[in-house]
Amino acid sequence: MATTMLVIWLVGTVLSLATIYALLRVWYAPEAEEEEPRRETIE
Amino acid sequence: MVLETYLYVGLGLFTLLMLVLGYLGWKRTENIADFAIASEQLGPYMLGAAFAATFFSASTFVGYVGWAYDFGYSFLWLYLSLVSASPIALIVFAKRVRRTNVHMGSVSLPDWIGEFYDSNLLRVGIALAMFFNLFYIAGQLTAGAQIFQVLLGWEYINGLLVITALVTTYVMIGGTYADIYTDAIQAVLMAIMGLVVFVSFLWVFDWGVVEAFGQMSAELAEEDPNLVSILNPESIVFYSGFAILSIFILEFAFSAQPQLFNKVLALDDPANLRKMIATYVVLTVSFLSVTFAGFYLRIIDPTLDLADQAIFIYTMEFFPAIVAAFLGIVILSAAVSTTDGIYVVLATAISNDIFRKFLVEEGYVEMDDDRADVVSRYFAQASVLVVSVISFLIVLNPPQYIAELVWIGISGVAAATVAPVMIGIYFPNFVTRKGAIAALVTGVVGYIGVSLFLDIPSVFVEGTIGLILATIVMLLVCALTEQEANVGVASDQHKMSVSRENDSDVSPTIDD
Repeated sequence: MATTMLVIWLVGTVLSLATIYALLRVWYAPEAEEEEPRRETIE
Repeated sequence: MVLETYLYVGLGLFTLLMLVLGYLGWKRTENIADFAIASEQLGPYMLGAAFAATFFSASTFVGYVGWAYDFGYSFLWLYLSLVSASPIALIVFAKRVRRTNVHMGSVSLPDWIGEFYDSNLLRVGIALAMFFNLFYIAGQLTAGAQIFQVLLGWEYINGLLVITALVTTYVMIGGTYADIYTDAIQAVLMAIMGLVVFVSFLWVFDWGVVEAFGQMSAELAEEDPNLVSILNPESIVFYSGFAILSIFILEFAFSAQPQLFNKVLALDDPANLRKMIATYVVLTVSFLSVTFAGFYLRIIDPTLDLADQAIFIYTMEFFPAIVAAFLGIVILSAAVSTTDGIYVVLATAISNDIFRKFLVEEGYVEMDDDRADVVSRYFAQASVLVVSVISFLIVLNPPQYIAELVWIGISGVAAATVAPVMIGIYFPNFVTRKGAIAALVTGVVGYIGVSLFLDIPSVFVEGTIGLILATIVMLLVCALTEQEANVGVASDQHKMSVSRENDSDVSPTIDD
């Protein structure tokens, strides 16, 4: 089918974003640990 | 005529903005830590935007649209790798690298590797490997030159001279503060452009929203079935399963590129990495939307000789002149936002990694700290000039595919650096200095050898082979050798005890 690759792209993108979201929630959850004092932040 | 007017005005404003921000960055830059990583004072949203803007260069807007145009849907594998492999790699390494650097205090990738493995040979070797990035810079300069050539009708050489002069001046003034300030702004511009181009099918074609993809596929398939196939055997990069796998492997490796690595080092608080990464991923999806212009233009006009011109032709045809001018500025931004990051990497490699941390600290050059600061700053600025000249010469004749030129550079750096970094941060008890050195040599020699002597169409495959060889050799040598003192975990503990004993480091100051 001419649209097969488009479907792969769409599904793959959604799955990738979901995976990234899950990894960030699990691996980068805020932890209580000692860090260096936070310096002045520029935004 | 209208387009030209808008473009000249836009270019004038852009240049002014860059020089103002460059000046502001220069005022904040007092020492090499400021120059290289803005002394770790920048917040997650700005750094996430800067990371994204540095990651996606003119290669995305010009080169990848060109590949989408020439190779069709198989290009979408690259899109997928950029929304999966690269962000996941960043998630995998950023936290550990940033935490180790809290105590190590490195200002660059070569410096970090040198500290982690307690090896000046690695520091200098990795710093030299950074010069593969000359090809990366050359790719951006030629993309910038094509803006002037296609949108304004200039001679290519004049456009190349102007873009080279503009970026060189800007980088010499401002260093990383300037880099990140402008990156954040450029990220917003790039995101807007990407999304606008993606939805442009609504007015360019007679398709409705629902049937758009079906219609697009039918028209591309009618022209050439390879344009809608999962693999395109006629493409130079999407022709086989292993070629696709190589793309994912190298895009994974790409997140550890030094000009991105130093954004991780620049984050004020490691706890903010989540926000930084999320910002970068959201922007990634926005930026990459622009690549659909390649598919759209292929349907309309399949006769382009230079596929890299597709994005310019498309916007000039189907957008108001002011939008086409805006695109020109955005592409210029994309080129500058990446190029200035790489210039900083190369300047830091020479002035800090090789000169200060090796030649001066090891006593090969006898010089007190104050004088070394001044001299290293001159080296940093002089190196920017030298790099500009060499990159300019590389693209005196425009390449067939900008994206291919860019990946020659990325692949070389990846082959040299990824194994020592990734294996080191995850197996700090296992790695050895000898293993890392072996990986560096194998990666570089392997990549160069494969590129020169094997007839492989895909630059991704060449880079992957170099990277795989480096990884295998590093694992073998580490398994066969004993971990040296001050390497890996021992290195962390040593650095932690040193930093507790000492007062805060006296950073070298570079006065105007």
